[in-house]
Amino acid sequence: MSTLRSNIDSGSSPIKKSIQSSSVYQTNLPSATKTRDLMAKDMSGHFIGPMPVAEFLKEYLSRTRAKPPRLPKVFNQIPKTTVEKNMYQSFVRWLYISCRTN
Amino acid sequence: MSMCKIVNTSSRPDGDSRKDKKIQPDLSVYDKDVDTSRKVMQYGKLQTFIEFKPDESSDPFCDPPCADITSKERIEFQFEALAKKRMDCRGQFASYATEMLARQHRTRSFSVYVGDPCVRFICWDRSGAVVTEKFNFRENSQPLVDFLWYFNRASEANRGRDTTVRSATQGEIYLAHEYLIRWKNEKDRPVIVFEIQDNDCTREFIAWGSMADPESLTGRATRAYPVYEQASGKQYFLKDSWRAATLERESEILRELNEKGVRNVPRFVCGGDIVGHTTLSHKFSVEDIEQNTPIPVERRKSWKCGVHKLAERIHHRFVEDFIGHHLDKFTSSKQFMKVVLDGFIGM
Repeated sequence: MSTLRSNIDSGSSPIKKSIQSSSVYQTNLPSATKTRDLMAKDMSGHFIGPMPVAEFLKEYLSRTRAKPPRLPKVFNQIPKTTVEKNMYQSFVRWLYISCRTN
Repeated sequence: MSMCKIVNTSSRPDGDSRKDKKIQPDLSVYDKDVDTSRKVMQYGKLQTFIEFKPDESSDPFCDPPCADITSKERIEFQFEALAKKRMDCRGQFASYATEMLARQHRTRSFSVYVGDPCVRFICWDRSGAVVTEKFNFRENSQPLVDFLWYFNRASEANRGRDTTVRSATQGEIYLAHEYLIRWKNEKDRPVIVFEIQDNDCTREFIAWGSMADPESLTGRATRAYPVYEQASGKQYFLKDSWRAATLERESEILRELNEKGVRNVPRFVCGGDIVGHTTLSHKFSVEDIEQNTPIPVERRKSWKCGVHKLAERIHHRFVEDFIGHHLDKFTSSKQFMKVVLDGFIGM
């Protein structure tokens, strides 16, 4: 307890166990499911949002003068399904159509 | 997509990933000239990825119920969803992004979440991740069309590729096989060439797989490479990391130790911060109010939920003259303790 107190008083970072410090030389590697859980915890507090989509595109991607085609209804033709893999094929088809336009 | 192609990778893990990293997104986007006939999932070539969920119940994030909530309510709002299924989905995305950033040299990467009928875009870098508000693609597809259209036409640098690293030529691959075979990675890794500014000239260093990959998405993400410089015909050691902007440059510390004649430290060769390579996520995480102006300016983004403290990170890369060994390669406890003692003398 005294060590923890002295860390706080000194203003230095408390010791934090992270994926980075614990996985490098360990022999029992975690399963993919366990890794998801560890990653969600490791990234906690690092997600910033919800940023408006227009601001996101302006900040990161929209560097060209040309403008995308107006296709506000193109993806609503994808059939509704409860099985995610059934979505892929039609989604990919409409992705190609939307990106080839203009 | 004219410059990219989309491949269904939902059941095809990357054979070049470590055993515990056999994970793969539903759809992977590659440059159209990437050969995916033999290896379908290739984190080393991935441009962006799309993950599908059949409904909204796995949405990793929560948007505020209405746009006009007060700033106090936004500060207290829990943006990262807490339900187990939704946390798992967040961890799943972070796992893919971590492997992608670990296997390539990038300043950032993008991904798309589709939880029918909602979509979010995420941009990941070594500070954190910026997530968009969700939108209903069945009611309005335009934001999704815009993202894909801009991404397809964006430059390599805007998509997040580190343009100071390039693929090796056949001649350079031959040199790597001759001079770097001793440190060959057990997984298939490409031979690459790092460019480093040394005063007025650019020096090139050939590398063939790092000695260790970053396990976390955020943080220093240090990678260390034994490298070969064709111009000098010498082997060196290259360190590539994302230092916190508030901390000193390791290259400067090493240079000073060399100047003071400190024993048992490597000799600095060249390198430093990479111009233009800073994280962007931290820019949107600021909480404070600017007090040094005549009128206080609120810098916190009006749309942001929760309270954050992300570190600005700067890409730092330098070369030194001593190639270390892996920690598990010592031959006796005496040798190990001698190395520790040498380190203490250096301190």
